[in-house]
Amino acid sequence: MNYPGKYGMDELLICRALYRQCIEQFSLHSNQQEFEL
Amino acid sequence: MKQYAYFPGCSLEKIALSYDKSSKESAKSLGVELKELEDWNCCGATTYFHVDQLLANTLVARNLAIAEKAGLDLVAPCSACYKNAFFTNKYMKEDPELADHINYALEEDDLHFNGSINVWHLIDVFADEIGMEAIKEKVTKPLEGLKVAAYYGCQIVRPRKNGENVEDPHFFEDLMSAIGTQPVDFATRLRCCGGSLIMTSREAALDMVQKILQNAVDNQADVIATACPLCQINLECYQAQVNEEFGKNYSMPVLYFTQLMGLALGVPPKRLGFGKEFVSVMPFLSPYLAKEAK
Repeated sequence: MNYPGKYGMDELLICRALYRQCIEQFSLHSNQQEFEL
Repeated sequence: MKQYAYFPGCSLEKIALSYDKSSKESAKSLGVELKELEDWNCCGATTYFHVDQLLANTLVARNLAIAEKAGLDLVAPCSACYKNAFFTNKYMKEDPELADHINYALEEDDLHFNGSINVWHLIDVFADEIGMEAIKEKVTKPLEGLKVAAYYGCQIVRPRKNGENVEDPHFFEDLMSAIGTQPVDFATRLRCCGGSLIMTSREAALDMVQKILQNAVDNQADVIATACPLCQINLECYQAQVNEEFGKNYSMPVLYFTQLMGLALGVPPKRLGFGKEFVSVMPFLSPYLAKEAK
């Protein structure tokens, strides 16, 4: 897999926001929690 | 006792419990403690990376950062988890700008990854870190006479480290020899098992499984040993469908290498997750299990 290169600030902000959403919504641990997509 | 941050991954919590149990037990017998990574998250398998590569690497980096915080190298028994963690670690070490990008997102979780740890597949810990000679010394119940087809699958040899020969690796066979088994020739040992293709192209996936099973049968293997939960499922659980589709009569046990290692290291079978197989292991393992009972 080749890494696609550099990112602009927009992509970084989106990534950070989605990451925040992941850790808030899914609680992340072990996929133990049931969740709906 | 040497410690590693143990990343079981989602499969080992559900469909590959015997791999989880036998990994911990065989490691413990070899003087290695697998300390489960606190609050780990899914590695994303192949899915995350097809949706958003930066976010996928960031979610993997979260696990790396937690392991680094604990001061431990990360070890994964699942080949897909290993591959994802290995490459994220590698990319972040090689590309400081990318590392900055990922760490920017990790700040949301008060985490930061400096790239100071290594990522291992469990089979590498046994083969490279512990080594064959040390393993041989710890074997108390060698599985003499058991013919094993050592199935690498397609992920643990990509990536490989230290210039190892990826076209003709031998560490899996060496490991199986170290516990007394007899590795057989197995030409399809590096072929893909089909992975998640079974979900989208059943016929093609079953054909891939059939070729691997046939090759193991042709070489008189008693069992197939694997180091990946997805390979294990594809090769074992779809045998009935393969038999129906191709007019075959396969009954080939597919075990985790850690289950065989555990047996040879004297761990009681019930602690290695035996008894949950789709294809019975008793025709081949009963002599070793009986020896254990005595």
